[in-house]
Amino acid sequence: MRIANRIVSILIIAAGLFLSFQSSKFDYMVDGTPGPGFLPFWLGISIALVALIPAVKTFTKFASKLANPFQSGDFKNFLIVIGSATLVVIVTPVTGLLVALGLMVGVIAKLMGTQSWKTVIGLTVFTPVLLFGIFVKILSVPLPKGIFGF
Amino acid sequence: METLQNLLYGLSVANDPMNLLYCLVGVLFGTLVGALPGLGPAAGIAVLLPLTFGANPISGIIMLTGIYYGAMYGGSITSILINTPGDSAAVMTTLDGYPLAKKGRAAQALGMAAFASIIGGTISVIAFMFLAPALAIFAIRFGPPEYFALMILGLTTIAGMTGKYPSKGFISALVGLFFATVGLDLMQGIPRFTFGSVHLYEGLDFIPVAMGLFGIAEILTCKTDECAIKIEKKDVTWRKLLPSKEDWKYSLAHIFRSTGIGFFIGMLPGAGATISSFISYGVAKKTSKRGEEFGKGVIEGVAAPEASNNAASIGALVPMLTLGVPGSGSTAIMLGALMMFGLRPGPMLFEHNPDFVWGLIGSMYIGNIFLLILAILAVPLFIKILNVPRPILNATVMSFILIGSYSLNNSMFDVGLTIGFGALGFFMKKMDYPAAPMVLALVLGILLETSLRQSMIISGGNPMIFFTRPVSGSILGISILAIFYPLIKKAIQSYQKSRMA
Repeated sequence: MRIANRIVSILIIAAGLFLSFQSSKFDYMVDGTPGPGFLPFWLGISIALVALIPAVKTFTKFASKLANPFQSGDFKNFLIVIGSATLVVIVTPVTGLLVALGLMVGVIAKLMGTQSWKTVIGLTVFTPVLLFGIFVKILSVPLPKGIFGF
Repeated sequence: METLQNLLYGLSVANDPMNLLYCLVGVLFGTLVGALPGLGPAAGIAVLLPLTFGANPISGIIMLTGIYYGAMYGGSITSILINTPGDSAAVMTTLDGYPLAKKGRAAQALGMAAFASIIGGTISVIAFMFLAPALAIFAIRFGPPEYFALMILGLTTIAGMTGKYPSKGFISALVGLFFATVGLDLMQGIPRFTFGSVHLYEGLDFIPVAMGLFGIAEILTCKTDECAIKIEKKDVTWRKLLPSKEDWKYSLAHIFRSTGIGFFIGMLPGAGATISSFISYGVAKKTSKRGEEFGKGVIEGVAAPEASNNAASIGALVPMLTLGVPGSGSTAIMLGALMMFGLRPGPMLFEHNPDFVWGLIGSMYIGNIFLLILAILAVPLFIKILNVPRPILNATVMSFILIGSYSLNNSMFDVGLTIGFGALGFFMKKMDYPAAPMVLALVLGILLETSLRQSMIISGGNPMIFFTRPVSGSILGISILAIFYPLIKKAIQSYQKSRMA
């Protein structure tokens, strides 16, 4: 936790300073009143200053009491869910959103521990049907279509 | 007496079988739309608007208002069950609703959300009847300094959401405020922090951020066994579904207080149900006897924002009907519908179209009863969601989150944004950075900066404008009190203890 906190705090401090630097490109004051750069500038400074507190704490005894937040296997769910969701964004122009979501549901359900293939295939097929009913038929949301025409 | 006569007349208009049907369809559809992640009342009203084209104006507006307050309740369902707010006004409900579900009290949380919504809604209708014209004129006088003060009051609630490590909570809030500055600058029209993406010109939408930080982060951090919320069949009896006497004891005062806050903030153009639920939650936490337990699953943490957001939805109708000024996206669509029906909202609407106004008021009473019946009947069904195996539930919820974020602006960019904030939420949760302050600051930040700059332009750069105007000065005074209240409370308690000893 100590190292993780230290890295994160340093990243936040750097981000805060970067934001302040970026906001200096906008007018700080306009005709005596705050301009578009005013608030972001002070926010960047404040972020960097407040982030010093957890950073400093990592050098004290306090940090040694904290357990490591990342356990082995924590990233499994992360990779499954974020990975398959990212694939949805990538393949949607080809397959259409509904097909992409159906595949995502099947992949997540299987990789997260659903044993039965029947359930996985059922989810892959029926989730897009349900979503089609709700979002396309009832709510008339124009979803991106793919090579299958839906 | 005249008001009561008018109300009886309104109830007779609303009791027309066709109007009752429209009201039922509106409430039912609103609840469903509210429960779908990403879709709020504005989307529901917009979608069902064509159905009212052939109807008479009273039936049409009865259905649209039914959708409006139905969605306010519906948003709480997914907040409580799967930690994914159905709409922005339901974000605060997740903070205690989901922990309550984890404790096995999902049914009571849903029940309390329903009762709080209905009590808040009904009291607001009464306030609407008696106070609407006078209050509307007061609300319209709210200028930028008053809005700025109100946003500061909203931000004081962050102090209560910082979790174990206050510094991390404040970093989260500051980053949220920064996110609020992304997009085109409203005064100069120049893009800020958009990194060349036109998708960011309109700023970061609040919904993808909330769905990512709450919904996806929950899925990511939830190991299959740890997060399983099992509800036994014996626990889904009618008796157990209703909030207990103790729940009521803790919640009732907060429901009434939050109703007042919600109704008033709902009337302010641009503020609305989301901000009112934030402020009500903060006030409830500060005034509750067990304020320290907020966020861990206390029933009043559900009651307060739910009463508030429903009260705000009725409050928003006040300026719309009496002045023709819509207070939110939903009421703007409703205003358009009224004009489409050939009605002219404004001070004369009560005189020229009493059947319409009083019929609408009557229908709100009936609609609230429909909402209560619907909520109570549906709770056992909703609870069953929790017994779905976690991998299946996670996969299905994920698909609803992504399609919900797409349907916000029909944009895949929003889907990517939601996924990005989901990943950010995962790391924040792991590193003990609370998400709620970030979301709160994002919502309040936009109005905060705009009203700050507008006020300074009005005053020629003199910040005393915030203190010299009575309303903004009073609100800022309350904000300062709210910040120091825990310290004052502690000092009084230690003084009393020392005297006792």
